Amino acid sequence: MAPVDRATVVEVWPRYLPATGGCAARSVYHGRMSAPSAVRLDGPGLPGRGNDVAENTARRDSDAPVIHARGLTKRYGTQTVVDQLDMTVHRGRVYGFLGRNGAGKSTTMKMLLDLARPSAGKVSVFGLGLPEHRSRVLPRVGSLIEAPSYYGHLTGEENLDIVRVLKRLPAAEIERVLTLVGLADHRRKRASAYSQGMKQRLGLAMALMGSPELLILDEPTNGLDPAGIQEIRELIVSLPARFGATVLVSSHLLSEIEQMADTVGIIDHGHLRYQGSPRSLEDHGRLRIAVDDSAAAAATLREAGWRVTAVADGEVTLPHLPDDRIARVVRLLVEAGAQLHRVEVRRRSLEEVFLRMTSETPREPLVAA
Amino acid sequence: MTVTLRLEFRKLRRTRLWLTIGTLLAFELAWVTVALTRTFAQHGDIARDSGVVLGQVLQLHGLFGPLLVAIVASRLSALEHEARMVPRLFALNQSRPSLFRAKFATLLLVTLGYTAVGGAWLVGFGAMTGVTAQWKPIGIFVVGLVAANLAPIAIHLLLALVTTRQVVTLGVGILGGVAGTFVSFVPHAVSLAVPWHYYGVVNPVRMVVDDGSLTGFAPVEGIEWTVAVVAAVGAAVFLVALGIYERVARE
Repeated sequence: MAPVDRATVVEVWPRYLPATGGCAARSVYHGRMSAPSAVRLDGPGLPGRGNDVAENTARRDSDAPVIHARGLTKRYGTQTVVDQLDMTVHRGRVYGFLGRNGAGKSTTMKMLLDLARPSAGKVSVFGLGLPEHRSRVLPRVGSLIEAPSYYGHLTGEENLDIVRVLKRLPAAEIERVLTLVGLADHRRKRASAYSQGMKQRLGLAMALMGSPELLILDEPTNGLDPAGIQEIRELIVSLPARFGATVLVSSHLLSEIEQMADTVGIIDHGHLRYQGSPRSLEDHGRLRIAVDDSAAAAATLREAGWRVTAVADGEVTLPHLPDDRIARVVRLLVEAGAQLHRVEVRRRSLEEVFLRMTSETPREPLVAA
Repeated sequence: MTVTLRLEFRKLRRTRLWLTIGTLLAFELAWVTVALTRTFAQHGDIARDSGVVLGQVLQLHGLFGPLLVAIVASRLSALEHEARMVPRLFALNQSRPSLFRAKFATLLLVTLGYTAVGGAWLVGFGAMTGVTAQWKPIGIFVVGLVAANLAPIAIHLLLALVTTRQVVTLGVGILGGVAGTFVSFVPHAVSLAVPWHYYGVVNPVRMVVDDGSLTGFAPVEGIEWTVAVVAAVGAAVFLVALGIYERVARE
């Protein structure tokens, strides 16, 4: 398999976005998401096994959720780490699982891999319940949980060979994944001598062995330098298009998830606080007008039927308005003799939205817009 | 099973385990050789048969056997703990029982190899010093050692896999080794309840002392049944340990 051409990936990936006009319209919370009815595959296939477009189309056409969790709960003694979590991950998506450290991301992922038994709730992967169907589910899943794991005294190639034997894959698969993660030149080096970034890549290579249909990656860019983060991010983003894979990737960094995921789940204190499109998290903003006499300006606007949400010293705040209506507001105030110093739309950044969401601990999940 | 067993041996590439085992074996054989040489020198009239050799070997192996098992179990498990590979192996669809069974089989093969090399050395040494090889007690000795190893292997492997700190299994191995040397002073029925005594329990010969002086080693009647009981207990301990590991390994 030829190495990935990054430029090609960037070019091809957007073509695989659902034809329904993006995810925002379908975003609801707690997995009651109506699945996209069609997936457009109008891009050229990439060379190699994963580029069998027909195969990928077949995989993606079946639109049953790849991961479906209901009421997932995990308690350790009296401590509840994951509480009544409902999660739905659809085929061919990159699902960003976002939460602070200790929010319950890793525990949730462990339950999805049958590494931890839920105290309550049900999980199905590919429509098959866990743990009863683990032997049918796990061969189709690649994972990287917490820190990368490897036998330090063995070479990168030997480490991958162990995974290859367990997954009953041909020997050529080692070459393919080594090239994919950029470790081909370091295959005969002992894993203990790898840099932190190389160890992370080795972990990722292990997860990619056999082109799994589902990848569960727990903070895969940990320990990587900025260039490495960029490379791995692009690789992850390209996986649905190249291999028809579904990716569940966790991070505590919003900026990272924002760049990778088309669906976001935000977990806080074990509760899934949000599930849906990252776009739905975006704040539409408020219109703020700095005037000499804010009380008079507010009165003028209210008289004319505009809704004023706040009046502060020298500032009037209105809800977000389209551009043409902003012009009408400005004209109205100017005609009323107000002196306008500034007109601006202020938006909360996603970071602020995320922090606001995770700094509170309400029991009810938030509804996506 | 064959695949996972092969993988266990692949994981041992470039480890110092083989050197450790070789050192332990060399130390034990040196000790046995010195002990046998002294016995032949001090008791010139003693019958030079396999019974003498086996009698000496199994007394010492009561000390070395538990140590060997503890060290190998500890290394096989530490390998996984240090690599943080256990969750990955499970996520790769290797089941918990499969991992336990593969490591158990590896340990059994390693101890069997240890016995085979040690046995070959002793047969060679015996041939050089005029000892007549008696294959029936030698066969019982080999089978007996395999049976005796089952329970300690299961116990040490369970300890080594569920506890990250290997000091636990190594500590138990040392205590087991010390306990194994006292097998002659403990009633047979009690020894059957102490897995680390099994190396002495399966001894196919017993010491014959006349007027306070060693005159030879005589075959133990019904030793085959004792070996069978030890094997059955070992198999039961293995199944219990497997069940415990399966429960404990799942958080």
